[in-house]
Amino acid sequence: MMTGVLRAFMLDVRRITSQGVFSILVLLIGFPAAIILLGSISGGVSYMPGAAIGGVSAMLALLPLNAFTFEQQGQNNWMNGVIPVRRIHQVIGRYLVVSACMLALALEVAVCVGAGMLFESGTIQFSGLIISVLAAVVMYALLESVLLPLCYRFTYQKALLTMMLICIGLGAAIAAVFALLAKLAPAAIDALISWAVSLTETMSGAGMIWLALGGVVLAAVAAAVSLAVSLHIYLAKEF
Amino acid sequence: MKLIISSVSGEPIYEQIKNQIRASVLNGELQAGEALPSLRKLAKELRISVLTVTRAYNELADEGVVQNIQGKGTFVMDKGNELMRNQLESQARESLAEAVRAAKAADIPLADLETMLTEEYQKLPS
Amino acid sequence: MTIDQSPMALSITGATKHYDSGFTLDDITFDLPVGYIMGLIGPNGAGKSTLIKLILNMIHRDAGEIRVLGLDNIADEETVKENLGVVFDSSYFIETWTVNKVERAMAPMYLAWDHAAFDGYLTRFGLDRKKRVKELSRGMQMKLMLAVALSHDAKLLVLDEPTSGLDVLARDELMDILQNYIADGESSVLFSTHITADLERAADFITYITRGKLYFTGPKDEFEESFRLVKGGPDDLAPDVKGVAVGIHRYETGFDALVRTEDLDKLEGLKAEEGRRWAPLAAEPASIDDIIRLTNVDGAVHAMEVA
Repeated sequence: MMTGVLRAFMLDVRRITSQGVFSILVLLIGFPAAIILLGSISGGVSYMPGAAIGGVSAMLALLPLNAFTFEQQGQNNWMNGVIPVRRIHQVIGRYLVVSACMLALALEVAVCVGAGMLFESGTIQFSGLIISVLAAVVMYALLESVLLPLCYRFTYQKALLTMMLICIGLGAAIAAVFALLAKLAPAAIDALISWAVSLTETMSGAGMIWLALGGVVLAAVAAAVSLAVSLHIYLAKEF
Repeated sequence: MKLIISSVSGEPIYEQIKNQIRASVLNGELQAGEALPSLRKLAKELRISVLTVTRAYNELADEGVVQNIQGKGTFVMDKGNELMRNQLESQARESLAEAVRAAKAADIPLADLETMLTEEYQKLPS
Repeated sequence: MTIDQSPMALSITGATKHYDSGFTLDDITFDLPVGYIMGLIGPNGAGKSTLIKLILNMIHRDAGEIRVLGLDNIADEETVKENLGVVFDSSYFIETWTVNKVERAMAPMYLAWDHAAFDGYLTRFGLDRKKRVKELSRGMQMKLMLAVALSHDAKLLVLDEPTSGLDVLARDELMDILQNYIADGESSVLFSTHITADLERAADFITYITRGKLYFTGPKDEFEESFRLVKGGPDDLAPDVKGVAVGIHRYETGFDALVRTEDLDKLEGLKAEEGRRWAPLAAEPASIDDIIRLTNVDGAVHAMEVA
């Protein structure tokens, strides 16, 4: 079991670094380095951590999906039938690669936000830091949980397209709900907004912990469901 | 030992091997007790199927020309062996028949032919 | 030598695969004893690749059993694949990988990876470690797959059309390597091809599949000897020939008929009669190509024969 998963993990690392590790390292080091560099020159970098986290998240979200693009190139998926690794281990290995990327993201966010805080105020607010990291990780886990089964099911391009359509659909649905509410019961929107504002304003330390915990549980459930769906798809796949 | 395989002769390859090994044994090129090349080595060198060589060796063993010794290889049988003797005898008979045909074609009487046979027999050391 | 008692490198029993497209690989059964080369032959689309994909568990088997070196190919998938070397008709490596990267990716996949052996094959094949896979010719890509297949102590090589697109020299070299590979008596080869010249000499066994069905499996000599090619002029195609022929190819100046060797006696046209010097028909040995060609002409008898 362990050997199989480890082999799958290593092979996927080889796949996603097929274009070379250099560009990946440059980007991973580049974002925090830019913050530190700009911060030490100008002092204030309030907008920088947000931009950096956006960039790093986008890159790390797509990076593990490279395994799919390369697998779908030519006859590379036949390699999956040749290597002494069971399909179930191949899938778990790939989820491990995503987990590794998630860890990298957590580290990147921590460094970027931490550096930003240091330059802004001279101290690091640990609760804020942890919340930023958790938020990024939970968002990342949710996104990848949807993307991975899509990539197993469709080609890489189709999966991304489907993901975009899902996002647009969700956005449109929410917009539609709000538009409907605004027309039917304008007061409801005000009530909703004021409730949300009051929630964040009145949230105590304990409330934050519960929110964070809820996020982690949500991400974990999403990942588990995602793994189950991916396995279901990949075990039935024919090369 | 010399072995030449032709793929265009139409004669099955195992037959070619058999005939050539038999000939080598009969003409003394392969001595009694001498080992034939191993199955897989010969197959590799002649670039033919292992089964083809196996078949040739097995049929030669059935004829009594060679002997398979489990785990050791294939060896040329002693010439005193009954089967081998029979083969040599029939070969001699065949050659004599040919000589007789030639003699008859040239109108050579039997007595002269017998003299010739004796002469030839004495030419070769026993 | 008793083949029946020797261990099997590959043992396939009733393997069946149905595709939605309508193609069915139907109830294939054969054994490959350890230490031999088996040619898997048949026209394109006969089901050769489907069978190989079943062995590799790349597609789902609808029925049957496949054992590699005595192990179930699905229950013992890892052990089976540690012992399998695979070569496809085109490269399965990522095109941007260098030869060196191919080794770095493949070496951790196998317990028995042998760096020295791989290096030896690279030298022997003239493969440059710095070259990218996409820069290699088709023949070189095949040799790279072969080098990987031979460098982890695999006991069974499975090759799917490895020689298609290769020149004579490369094909010759491949057959040389395969014969060397089985020379230890413990290694075996399953080799699918439609270029039967590769098999005429070196293959020990033949498994012939056509239209998804097994037509023959057994020693190659037996396969070739079980058929004869009967030839004659356009007017010599007598009813008795039509009756026993497995397949007939007619052309303007005559015909070729594939006839089972045991049926030859039934053909009057092969016997010289009083008053005619030559028999009108001639029978000659059939090559593997003749057999494939004439068992696939329209109206060929789809008899199944398992030796």
